Amino acid sequence: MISNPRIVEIERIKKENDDIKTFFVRIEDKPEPGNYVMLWVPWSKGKSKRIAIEPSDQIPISISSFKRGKIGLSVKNVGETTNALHDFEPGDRIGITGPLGNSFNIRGKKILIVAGSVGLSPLYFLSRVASEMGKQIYVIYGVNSKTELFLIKELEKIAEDLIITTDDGSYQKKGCVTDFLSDFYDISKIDSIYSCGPELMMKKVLDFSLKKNVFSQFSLDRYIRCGVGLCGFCAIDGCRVCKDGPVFTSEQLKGFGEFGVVKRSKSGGVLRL
Amino acid sequence: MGGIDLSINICGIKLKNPAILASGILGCTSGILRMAAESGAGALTTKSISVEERHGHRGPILIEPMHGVVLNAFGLPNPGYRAFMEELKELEDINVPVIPSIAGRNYEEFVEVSSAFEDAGSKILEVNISCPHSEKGYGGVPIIAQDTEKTAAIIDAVKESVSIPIIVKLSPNVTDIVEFAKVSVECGADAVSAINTIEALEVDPILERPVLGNMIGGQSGPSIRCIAQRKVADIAIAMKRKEIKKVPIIGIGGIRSGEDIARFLLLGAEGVGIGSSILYDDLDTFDKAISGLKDLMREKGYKKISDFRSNALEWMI
Ligand SMILES: Cc1cc2nc3c(=O)[nH]c(=O)nc-3n(C[C@H](O)[C@H](O)[C@H](O)COP(=O)(O)OP(=O)(O)OC[C@H]3O[C@@H](n4cnc5c(N)ncnc54)[C@H](O)[C@@H]3O)c2cc1C
Ligand SMILES: Cc1cc2nc3c(=O)[nH]c(=O)nc-3n(C[C@H](O)[C@H](O)[C@H](O)COP(=O)(O)O)c2cc1C
Repeated sequence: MISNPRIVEIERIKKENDDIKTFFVRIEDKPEPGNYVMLWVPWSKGKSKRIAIEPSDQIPISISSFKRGKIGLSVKNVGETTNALHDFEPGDRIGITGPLGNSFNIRGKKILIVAGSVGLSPLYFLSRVASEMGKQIYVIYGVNSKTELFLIKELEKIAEDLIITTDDGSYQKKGCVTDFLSDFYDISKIDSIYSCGPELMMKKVLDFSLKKNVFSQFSLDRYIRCGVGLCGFCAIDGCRVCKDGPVFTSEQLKGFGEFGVVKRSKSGGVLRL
Repeated sequence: MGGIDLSINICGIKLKNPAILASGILGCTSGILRMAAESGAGALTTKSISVEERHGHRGPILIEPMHGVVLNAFGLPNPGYRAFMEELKELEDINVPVIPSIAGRNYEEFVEVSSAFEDAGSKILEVNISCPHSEKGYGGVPIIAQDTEKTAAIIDAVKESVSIPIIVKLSPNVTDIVEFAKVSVECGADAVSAINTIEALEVDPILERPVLGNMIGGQSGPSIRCIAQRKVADIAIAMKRKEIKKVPIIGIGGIRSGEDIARFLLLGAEGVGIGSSILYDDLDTFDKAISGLKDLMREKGYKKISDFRSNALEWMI
């Protein structure tokens, strides 16, 4: 049973940076870190009158936090629907289907988070839950440039150690997250790795974790349409990211010929990464 | 096998069992189609494929307003036949028949896509003339399968250009589905499948707007099974009465269990299509339904499907 999207009021909006806003809405079911929702941006705002037919679309967004019945959805403005959503105000209504998908499996005592860009969202939720469980959290977080960073203060509170990398060197270390993986791993004696971000970054993290033989999980990005495993458009090899994922283990990914190589367009056609 | 033979034959193509994956479900990429094959389906129908790539409609594209009531308005997204051929190549080694489904806006497009599949080695095609929401929004224009002349023109053109058998997929959104089955068969359809989704609409009372991104869509799932059974029976009865030449019927709509499959076979269907139920039993759907069918047959002492096919139809003739 997937029901209609549940219409909820946006209770609060937090501007994280120029491109990312976190929208807080009430939800009925308790989410697990790694879950996502299908977020319907109906573009009729709080009022019932139609403002415009388009853009109205439903997009997958990971849950970035859960507190007292409310989830946070940290959305980067990258295109039509996310742009429309960024114009919404508290009190405006959106539709939520979910929580959907599988979740991270928190293992070991010392966990390493490797995040790229807005891929930090599900990993931030994971870090909070893991921290409450008494795990030690180590974070490597990379963006192109300083202005894209978000949730830094929050991460500083829960992480034993936090390395931030920027491609242009505008903040902390210049380079990409994978440049620092090895040092960090050896010093901190990590038990498990969790990663989300650009796929080519995750591919490097996968290669690293396979070499070190450490338990690791990755949250994947594919074009999700139905969100419930029926249409098959988000398939990677034989798995549906929307239902069998979005979280996959290194053991699964090493058998995927498409990981780090191709993804699918909106029409289901092959796109080289 | 326990001495039970579930095999069927559709236009010379042998299926190990009558449960076919319906078009549009899991049907666009080779990896997941392979999983469907491994999960026990007797054949796989692909997503409907057109000449050019299509992006489909905006979301929400799939909702379930009440249990068993599934509404979708995908808008036939697909990568176009040239790209899709690469997916088909990946499936050459599976030993489950693949039925490409073809779609188009006019007969030239249907001909182009069907010829391409025949050239690529396909042994059978399904011609989808019945998607109720392939065009954008509320058009009010009848689709091909709601117009006997357009239906005839498409089937004539496809039959003239390919020599492999074709299954014509009919729409329930007509006054008399038998009329459309008749036109299809007269134009040379080698089989018919029924039904495609039923025209439907859902409204959100808070936002005061239609829920589907495309506003209107088509209903499927368990809620349409009895409607589909009636449509299949209507066609089968007309064939029994020799008002239409007899061709295989593939019954589709809301099928979930072995008993559901039996219901359609009892109404004269040669095989069945299963789609929306994958929402509930996922990839186990085929395995469960097929073993359910076997159990039922064993209980009744049937050894093969022809031992009971059309038995329920006899009451209505
Ligand atoms: C499991 C999952 C979790 C995600 N979590 C987040 C998150 O927490 N925060 C966040 O900012 N983004 C997240 N994304 C990405 C987000 O879904 C896209 O950025 C969003 O859909 C863009 O919509 P748009 O209409 O604004 O962009 P468009 O103008 O439509 O396109 C811009 C880009 O977004 C991608 N995109 C568009 N629609 C979809 C779709 N239905 N599914 C996947 N990708 C799409 C396109 O491929 C394109 O590259 C997630 C994606 C997935 C698959
Ligand atoms: C998500 C979805 C996509 C579909 N796409 C197609 C399609 O591309 N071509 C087609 O002929 N039928 C399509 N259909 C219709 C199904 O093949 C089937 O006829 C209908 O859903 C009834 O069967 P069901 O109740 O088992 O789903 C689609 C149905 C659904 C639910």
